[in-house]
Amino acid sequence: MSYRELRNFAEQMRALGYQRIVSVENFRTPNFELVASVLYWMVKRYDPDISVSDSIETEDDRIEFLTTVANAFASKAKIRLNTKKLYAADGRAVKELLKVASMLYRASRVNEEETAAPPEVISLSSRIKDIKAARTLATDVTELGAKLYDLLGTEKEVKPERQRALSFLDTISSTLDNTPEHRHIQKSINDLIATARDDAENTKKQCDELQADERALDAKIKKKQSELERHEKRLKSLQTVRPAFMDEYEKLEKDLEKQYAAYLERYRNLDYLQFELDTYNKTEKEKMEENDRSLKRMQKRLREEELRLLRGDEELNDQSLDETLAAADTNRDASRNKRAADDDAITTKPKAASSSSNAANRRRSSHARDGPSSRVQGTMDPSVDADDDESDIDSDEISHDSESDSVSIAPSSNNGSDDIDDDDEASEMSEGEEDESNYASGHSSTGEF
Amino acid sequence: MVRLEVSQHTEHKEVAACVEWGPNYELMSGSDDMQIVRWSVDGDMLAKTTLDSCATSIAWMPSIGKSVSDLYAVSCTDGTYRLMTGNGREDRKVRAHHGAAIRVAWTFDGTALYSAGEDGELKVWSKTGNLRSTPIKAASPIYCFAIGASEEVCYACDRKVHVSSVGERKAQSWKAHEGIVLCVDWNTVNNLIVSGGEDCRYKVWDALGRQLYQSQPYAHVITSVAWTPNGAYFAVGAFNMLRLCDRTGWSCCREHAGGGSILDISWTTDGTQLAGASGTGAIVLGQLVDRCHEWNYFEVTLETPRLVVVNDLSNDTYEKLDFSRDRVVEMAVGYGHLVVTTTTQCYVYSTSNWNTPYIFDTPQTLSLVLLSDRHFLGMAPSSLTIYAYDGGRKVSQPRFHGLRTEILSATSISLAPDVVAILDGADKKLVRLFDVATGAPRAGVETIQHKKDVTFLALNQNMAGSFVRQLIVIDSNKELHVYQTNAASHGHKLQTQVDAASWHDKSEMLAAIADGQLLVWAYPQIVWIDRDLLPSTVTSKDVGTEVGKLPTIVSFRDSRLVARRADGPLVTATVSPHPAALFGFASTGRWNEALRLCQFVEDEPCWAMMAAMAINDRNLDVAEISFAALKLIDKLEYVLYIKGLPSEEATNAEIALLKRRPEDAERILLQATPPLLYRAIKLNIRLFRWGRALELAVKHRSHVDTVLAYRARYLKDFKKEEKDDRFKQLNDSVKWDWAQIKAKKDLEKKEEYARAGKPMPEKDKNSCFPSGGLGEYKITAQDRGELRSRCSTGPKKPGGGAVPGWGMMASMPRA
Repeated sequence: MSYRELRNFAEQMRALGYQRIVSVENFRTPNFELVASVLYWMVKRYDPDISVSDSIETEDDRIEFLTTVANAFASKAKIRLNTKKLYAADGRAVKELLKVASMLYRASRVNEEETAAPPEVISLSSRIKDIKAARTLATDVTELGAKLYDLLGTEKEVKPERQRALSFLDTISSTLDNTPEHRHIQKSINDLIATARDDAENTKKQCDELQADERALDAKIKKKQSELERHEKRLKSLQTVRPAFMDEYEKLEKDLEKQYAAYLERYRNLDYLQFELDTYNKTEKEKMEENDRSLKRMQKRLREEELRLLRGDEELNDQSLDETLAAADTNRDASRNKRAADDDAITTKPKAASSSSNAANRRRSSHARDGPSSRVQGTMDPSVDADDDESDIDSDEISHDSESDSVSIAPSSNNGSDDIDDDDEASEMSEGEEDESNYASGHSSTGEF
Repeated sequence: MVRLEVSQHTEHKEVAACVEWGPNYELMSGSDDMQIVRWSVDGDMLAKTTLDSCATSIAWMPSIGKSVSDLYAVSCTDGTYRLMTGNGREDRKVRAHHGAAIRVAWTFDGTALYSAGEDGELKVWSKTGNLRSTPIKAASPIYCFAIGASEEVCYACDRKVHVSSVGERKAQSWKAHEGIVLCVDWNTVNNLIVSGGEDCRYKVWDALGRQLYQSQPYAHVITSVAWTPNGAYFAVGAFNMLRLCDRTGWSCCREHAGGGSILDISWTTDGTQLAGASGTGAIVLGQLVDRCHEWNYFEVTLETPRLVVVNDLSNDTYEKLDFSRDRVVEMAVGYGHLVVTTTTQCYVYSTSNWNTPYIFDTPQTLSLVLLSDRHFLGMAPSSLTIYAYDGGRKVSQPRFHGLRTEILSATSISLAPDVVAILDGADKKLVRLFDVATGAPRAGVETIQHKKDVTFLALNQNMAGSFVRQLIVIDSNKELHVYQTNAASHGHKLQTQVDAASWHDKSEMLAAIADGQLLVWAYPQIVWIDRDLLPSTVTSKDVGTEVGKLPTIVSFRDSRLVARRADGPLVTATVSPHPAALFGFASTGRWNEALRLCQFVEDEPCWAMMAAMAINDRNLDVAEISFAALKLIDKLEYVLYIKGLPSEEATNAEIALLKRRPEDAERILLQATPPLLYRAIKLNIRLFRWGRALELAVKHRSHVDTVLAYRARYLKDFKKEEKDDRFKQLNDSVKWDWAQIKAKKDLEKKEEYARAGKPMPEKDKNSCFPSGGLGEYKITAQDRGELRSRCSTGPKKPGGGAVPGWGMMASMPRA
C-alpha cells in the first residue's frame, strides 16, 4: 500500500473512464468486491471476447474468477498477476491492479496521441462531406469499369494493328541501316516538321495581326477616352456657366407670378361682381314683373270701369246725343252754306272723300276694337259725316291714348329689366319715337296723298 | 469577466505530482519519473534534476527581505524529504515519515518546515532539517495541509478538516466532505479555507469552520485547490477541469486542461499566473486575463497577458497598450491615471494621453496598486512604496517592524492623499497610519487600536474644505466603526452586521450594506460635531433581495453604488445625489447655493448635514438656518447665543462646547490673549466641574469667590453638604458677596467688549453669560425679535405657508 500507487491508480481509472469513483481510501480495508469489479471491467476492456464468470459469492467462485482473469492476462497481455495479493484485496492488490491499469492507460494514451492529429470533435457536417466524396468515387469506379469493358471489346480489331506496329518497331530496332522503314520515318518526320513550321508561322502572323489590332484598339480607346474627358470637362464648364438670359428669365418669371396673382385677384373680383349682378337682376326682374302685373291689373280695372261707365251711361248718352245732334243740325246748316260757297272748288272733293274713307277705315278699326261703340256708331246715321268725323276724332284721341299707353309699356316688357335708367330713357325714347313715327306715318300718309 | 488563458507543456513522462513557483518566476515541477524540472515563466524547460525517488511536493523557502532564497524542500514517496539548492544539489535528505511524505511547506518567515505524511503525522522541522516537534498524530494519512496567517495549521484528514495551532492543545475540526478530503488551502489575507474532496465538491469555509460556499458535485474528484496570494480568487483542479473561482466561491471560468487530473496548483506571488501539474505529465500554465477595471467613462481590459485595451466610452475609441517586454501583473485606473505594472516595470498613463507613459523599473514586481488623488501605492513582496503620478517619482516608503506584505491586500491597506493606513500583520486590532509625504508614522496619531480584529479598512479620499481624514473599519464582529486620524479620539460605532462598506469617491458619503439594508451616511464626520444629528443623516433602503447574503461593494461613485452578490452578478443601487452636491458646495464655501439646494430638497438628512458642515466651518448663519429647518430649537437658540458673543475666542470655545469638546473649549479660552479666565472658569462651573474651576481660579488668583458662590448656590439647590476639603478650606478664608461678583463680572464683560471694539448691549447685561448648566441661557430681547422674524421669514415649503413648527417656536414660552 502506497500513497503514490493509490493516487496513480485512482488517476488512471479516472482517465480510463471507470464508471465508479475510485477513492484513495477504498483499499484501506479489504474490498474484494471492488477488486473483482475492477478486474472484470479491465478484462472486458482489454478483450471483450474473454469469457469470465462474474459470480464471486463463494470463496471458490472468487478463486475461480481470479485464476481465469490471471490466466487471461498472462496469456493475452503477458502480464503476470499475483492472485494471492489480489485475493487479499488490500493495498497490495492495488499494485497488481496497477500493472493492468497502467498498461491500459498507456494504450489509451497512445490512442489519444494518434487521434490527437485530427480535430477532437468531428462534426456531423464534415462526415456528410465524406459521404458525398464516397458517392462520387463509387460512380467514378463504375464509369471507369464500363469504359474499360468497352475498350476491351474493341481489342479484337485493334490487336492486328498493334502487332503490325510492334513488328515495325522490331524491324527498326533490329537493323540500324537505311531500310525503307527508316526512310519512311525520315519522311514522315520531315513532313511533320514542315507542317509544324507552317503552323508556327501562321500563329506568328496571327499574333502580329492581333498585336496590330490591339494597338489600333488602344489608340482608339485612348482617343475616345480623351474625347470623353473633354466632353466631361465641357459638360462641367457648361454646368457651371450661367446663361445670360437667366437673370431676365428669372425676372420675368417673378413678374409672371405677380401678374398671375393680380389676374387671379381680378378674376375673383369679377366673378364675385357678376354673381352680385345676377342676383340684383333677378330681384329687379321680379320687381318688374310685379310692377307689370300691378299695371295690368290696373289697366284691367280701368277698362272695366270704362266699360261700366259706358254701359251705365247709355241713356244719358242718348239724351246728350240728341242734344248734340240738335246742335249739329244748326252747325250743319252753317256749313251747308259754306259748302255751297265752295262748290266750285271741286278738287277738294276727293280729299274729302278720302278723308271720309279714312274716317270710315278708322271707324272700321275702332269698330273691330270695341263692339259696343261701333254698334253705337252703327246706330248712328251714317250720312252725318262731319259729326262722325268729330266723334271719330274723339274716339280716335281716346284710342290714341290707349295706344300710346300700350306702346309705352310694350318696350319695357320686351326689353326686360336691364337698367332702370336706361329703361326709362328707352321707354321715353320709344315713346317719343312712337310719337314721331306716328307723326311721321301721319305725315307720310298725308304725303302719300 | 476574468478568465484563464491556459497553455500546456509536456516534459515529464509520468504523472506530474507537484509544481511550485520559485523566485524570479521560475517554476519547479516534480513527477513520478523521478525528475524535477525547472521551467521558465513561458514554459520553456531550463534544467532537470534527477532524484532517487518520486517527488510529491516542493516548497521553496520564502525570500526574506532583499535576499533571494536558494533553497527548496522536496517530499518524496519513500518517506523522506530533501533540502535542495536552486542549482539542483541535494543538501540534505531527512527521513521524515513512514510510508510516503505527502507534503512539505515552509512557514512564512522560512524558520520552520512542516511536513505531513501517509502515517498521519505532521512534523515541524528546523531550517536545517532537525525535528522540532510532532504536534499532530492522526489516524489516517494527512493528504494536505495549509499554514494560516498566525502559525495555525489546517489539515485534511479523512473526511474532516482540522485547524489547530501548533504548540497549543486547542483545535477545531469539522466534517467537511462526504468523501475523503484531498486538498485544502488557507489564505492568509482573507483567512478563508477552501477544501476539495472525493465527493466531487469544493467548499469555502471561514477559519472557524462555518461553511460559506458549497459547489455543485462535479463529475470527478477535486484533486487540488489553491488560493491566489491576494485572496481574490482560488483555482480548483480536477480531472480534465481547471476552474477559477471568486473568493466567494462562484466559478469565473472553467478550462479543459490536458486530460489528466490537476494534482497540484501553485500561484505566483503576484497572483496572476498559475501552474498546474497534470496527471498526464503535462504542466499547465494559466494566466489571468480579461480583467476589467472601470473609471468614469474608461474601461480598461487586459485582453491578453501583454495587451491592455482601453475603451473610452465617451467617444467609443479603443486604445491598445502593448507590453511587449513583460506580461502585465496588475493595473489600476482612477483619478485620471492608469497604472500598469509588469513583472519588472511600472507604467503610469494619464487618461488624457495614452501615448507617452512614465515608465520606471521596479526592483520587485508590484502586485498591488492603490490609487489616490496625487499618489499611488505599489506593493512589492518586501516593501510598500508610494509614487507620485508625475514621473513616477518615489515619494516615500512606509515601513514598520513586522510588515508582512503577504497578508496585506486592498482591504487591509488604504491610501488617502495625505495618509496611508496599514493593518498591522501581527496584531490585527492595530491600524498603523503613515504620512504619505515622508513615510513616517503620522504625527499625533501613529496607530489606531481597535477592540476586535480588523477585516476591512478604508480612508475617505476627499481633500476639499476643512476635511477630517477619517478611517472606517469593519471588524471580525462585522461592526462598522469610524475613527478620525487627525487627532486621537475614540472611534464611533456606526452599524452592526455590516457586510461591506465604502466611501464615496468625491464626497464624505459613506455607504454600507448591513443585514440586507443599504445605509448611506451623508456626513459621518458629524460624529465629532454633533452626534445627535447622526441618525438623521442616515438614509436606509432595503436591498436584501437584490444583494443577497455577503455582498461586496465594487464602486461607489456619483449617485451609483455597484455591489457584487456573493454568487457573482453585479447589482446597482442609486443613492441620493444631494449630499454629494451639498458637500461640493459647502467644501468650496458656496453656502448660498448649498442653502438653496437644501431648501429645494427639503430633506432632513440634507439639513442635518448642512448644520454639521456649517458648525464645522464656523458659519453660524447657515447653522442657524439649518437648525431652524430641523426644528431643533435648543440648538438654534444656542447658535444665536454664540452669535451674540463679543470675542472670537469665546465664539470658538462655545462652538467647541457644541461639538462636545470642553477641554478644547477651555484651552481656547485660556490661550486667548489675554486669557478669558472668567469664561474658562464659568465654563467649568457650567459643566459642574468644580474642582477644575477652583483649580483655575486659585492658580490665576482671581474669581475664587465666584466659584465659591456658585458652589454654594449649587449645594443649596441640590440640598447637599460640602464634602470637598479644598472648598471647605477656602470657604473659611474667603468671603464672597453676590453684588461684588456681579460687579466683577460686568467689568470683565465690559473689558471684553472693549477689546472686541463692540458696544456692549444695554439691555439684559447679566444674561449674556449663561447662569445655569450647559444649554441653559437667556437670549436678549433683540435676539428674540430676530429669531421671531427669522422664523417667520424662514425657509418655506414649496407649497407656501410656513412650516407648522415655526409658529410654535415664535410663541415659545420664555426660558
